Amino acid sequence: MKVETSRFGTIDIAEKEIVCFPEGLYGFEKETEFTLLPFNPNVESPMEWMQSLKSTHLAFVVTDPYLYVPDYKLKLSEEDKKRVQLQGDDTFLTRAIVTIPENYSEMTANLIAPLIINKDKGVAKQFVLTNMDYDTRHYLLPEEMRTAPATVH
Amino acid sequence: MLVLTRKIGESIKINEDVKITVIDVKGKNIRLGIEAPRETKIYREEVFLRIKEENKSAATSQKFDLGKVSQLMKDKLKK
Repeated sequence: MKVETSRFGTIDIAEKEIVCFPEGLYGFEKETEFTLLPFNPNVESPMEWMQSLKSTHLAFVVTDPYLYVPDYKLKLSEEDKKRVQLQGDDTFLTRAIVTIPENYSEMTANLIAPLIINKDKGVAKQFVLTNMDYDTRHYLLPEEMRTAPATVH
Repeated sequence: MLVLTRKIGESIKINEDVKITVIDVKGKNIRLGIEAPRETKIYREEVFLRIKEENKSAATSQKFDLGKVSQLMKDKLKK
């Protein structure tokens, strides 16, 4: 299907590339369909875009939280798994939404509300962890990498 | 909304397996004790508001240099 996007122009995506969030995302309850796209077609990146199929302008930057927080603690209960149609040991993708402020080096990932994506079924949900160790703004870069503001030349 | 008055030490039960007890009251603060099955998710309500706000900031913070951001992320992963 062809989808208009403001960032990527018209994109053509296969049915199996559609990720459905039946409840939407928090604050975006009516945005129920997205697709994952490479972050930067020219360079390999640990990040991806999650583009809305409904709103041309809406795209989130997401990343795999385990790349940055290897001991990230996320345990899905049986009830949680049912919400995204996972059974037994079915595999799923875990993604955290990234916020990129003017000073890029201060970008943060939302670790308390990860996206759990069942790629095979095309179903996903933004879960809210009860683990108090995590919050909505977890710096992705360590302090020594955060000092210099990124300037555009 | 159902409104109940409870004293310190008194509880309310929700269904048969959730019990919320007033532990202490100090000024405007009330300490609650919650007993519930392990899989019950208990949140401070504000967390949902913070997540909504964060999703909105994430959705609007989009004018950046893809190459530079990618490079920063990769530099971090090399360490």
